[in-house]
Amino acid sequence: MVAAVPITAFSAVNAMGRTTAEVLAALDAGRSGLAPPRFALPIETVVGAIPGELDPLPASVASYDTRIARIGFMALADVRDAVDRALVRWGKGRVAILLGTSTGGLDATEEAYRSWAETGSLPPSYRLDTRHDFNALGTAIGKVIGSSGPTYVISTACSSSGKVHASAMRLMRSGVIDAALVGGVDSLCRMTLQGFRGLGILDGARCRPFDRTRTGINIGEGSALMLLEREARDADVFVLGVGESSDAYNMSSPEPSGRGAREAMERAMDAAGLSRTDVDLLIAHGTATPQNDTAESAAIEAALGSAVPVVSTKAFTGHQLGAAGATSAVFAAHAVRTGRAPASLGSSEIDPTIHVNVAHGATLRRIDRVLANAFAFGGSNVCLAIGRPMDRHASAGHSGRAVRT
Amino acid sequence: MKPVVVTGLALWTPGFASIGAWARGERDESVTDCECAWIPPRLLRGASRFTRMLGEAAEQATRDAGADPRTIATVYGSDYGEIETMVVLLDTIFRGDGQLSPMRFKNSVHNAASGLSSIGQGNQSFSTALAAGRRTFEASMLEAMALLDERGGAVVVSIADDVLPEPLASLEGWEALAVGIVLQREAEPSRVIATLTELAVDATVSARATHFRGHALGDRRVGTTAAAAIPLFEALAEGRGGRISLAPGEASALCVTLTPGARRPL
Repeated sequence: MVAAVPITAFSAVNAMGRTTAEVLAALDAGRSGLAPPRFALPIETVVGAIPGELDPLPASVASYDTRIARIGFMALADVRDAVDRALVRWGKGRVAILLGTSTGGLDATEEAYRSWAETGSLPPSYRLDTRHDFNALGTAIGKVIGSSGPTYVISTACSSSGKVHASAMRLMRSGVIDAALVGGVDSLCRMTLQGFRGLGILDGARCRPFDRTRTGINIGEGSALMLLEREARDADVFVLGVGESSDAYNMSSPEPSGRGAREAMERAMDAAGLSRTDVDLLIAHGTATPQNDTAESAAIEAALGSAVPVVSTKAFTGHQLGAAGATSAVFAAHAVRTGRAPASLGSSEIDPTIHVNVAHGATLRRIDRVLANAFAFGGSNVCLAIGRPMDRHASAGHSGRAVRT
Repeated sequence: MKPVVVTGLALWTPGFASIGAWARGERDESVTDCECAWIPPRLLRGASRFTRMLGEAAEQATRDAGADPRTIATVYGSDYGEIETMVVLLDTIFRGDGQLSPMRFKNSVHNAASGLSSIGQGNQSFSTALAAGRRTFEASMLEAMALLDERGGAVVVSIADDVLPEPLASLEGWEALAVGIVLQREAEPSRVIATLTELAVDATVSARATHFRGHALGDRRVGTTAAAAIPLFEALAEGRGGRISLAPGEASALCVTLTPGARRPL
């Protein structure tokens, strides 16, 4: 079993808001951020775009200024004070920056390619190493905050920003680092929208996870970050364990029985020392594709039974791809802190073949431990266990916890 | 970080189908593409040469180590990943009919080689894909060594970047190069090429390699992400000990101490 790692700060920006407070207020209120796209697309759909204009990067890292970097720096703003304190406490070489992304700088390269297709030349400001590079955001953050610790990107499509938590915990346990800024970021791109349309799984209306009428996903953009530290005296929420698995089945379809997804959940619970009755909430990957939701619900039922409340937040934010896992992690931490579990927005009439407890409405109750799933192309699966360690609340039990008022 | 042992090595680049061919200077101009035995042809439809390069380096290194391709953990690293596939898709969007090939789209993710190799081998073990610019080899080794610290066993690290497609080739240029290395927590002494210990930042060790086994890499290969592995590979091939940088030429680079084992890899 692995020692729990304190989460000392977290942030999220996405279609629901430009700050963490706005995002979490919208989540609690059941307010979706999905809307028609602001750029022309040969597709009818809704997307999860961050509202308003995005601020440019600081002048010292202006060459890294892309939409994805701007989104990442918006999320950084809400954890910056805690990160600065961690750098002082642990030393600038002992704080890692481990981010997940699926698109990387694709948005910037799309614009550069469009310019080349129209004019025959790439824009003078376009650079591969600072605009397209998957690790460009982490490098820019490192320069601004003054970190010299390990800085890299995990890019396993939609599981990327879940897997960074596991990497950070391993580096911490191996003694390489004492803290890590982990999370994920992705921006809206034509290629992802048109690619998912080509796969036939892009919904033209707002997505409906686990619903019998679901037809596919909406794409979103955003960033979510967490500061993990080796020790924190006043921490109230922790990464308890992480489970990773590989389907080895199909590049884009889940293994139908949900074997890989179940293994990820079971490994997360095992790493955290949890039994199925210790889990108070599951934030599903819940993309609203017919195949994903069916396979995932089978996996949840096998790993946890059919009692634990299950929510998908994709109808709030859209599927943020490389930022999805980290966003679910932040929503899990918020649920533990406040006792507020969101509604599974869009899940009106549950598919009769799905036998898990999809939560129609938001609830307010004591929540000690949450599982958060993220699954990806390539059969890459990850599950995060987030909450309070078992030994701190051993007497609460699963059935006897009080409702917080 | 606990010590790890090196048990397998691989290299692929146009003109040289294996690390042995490179070491012997046996250039073969017909070597322009990879076989990549780990991924069956039906899965390679719509996959790039880059995908095959990563899979090939992983396969060769795993075979060199005598490890099991169905259970070995895999860490795939690349700076720009599936950039060739991305450009094909962008061309369809901006100069074509906008109808993206589902096969190409699903193989455009950075972890395409990870997914296809795991499917091809039925390997349900740990797999990941990462990027860290010029420091991708260092980050991949760090990820692999931490994984071995956690769970033991064996892990193959495969690093590659292909040449840049037009129009991006006008910005930067390098030669295609893939390298693979198998790390294990422990192994039979006769299989151990070297033991790696004392992973730490060391500013005094930073030289880039320009040659490998007496053959000039050339500027375009030196510029490739995978070339960061060459100083380590050179020392392993020669049975040299001492401190070796995992990110030659970079500030605050992680270094390891090499202690040669019983086996000479070439």
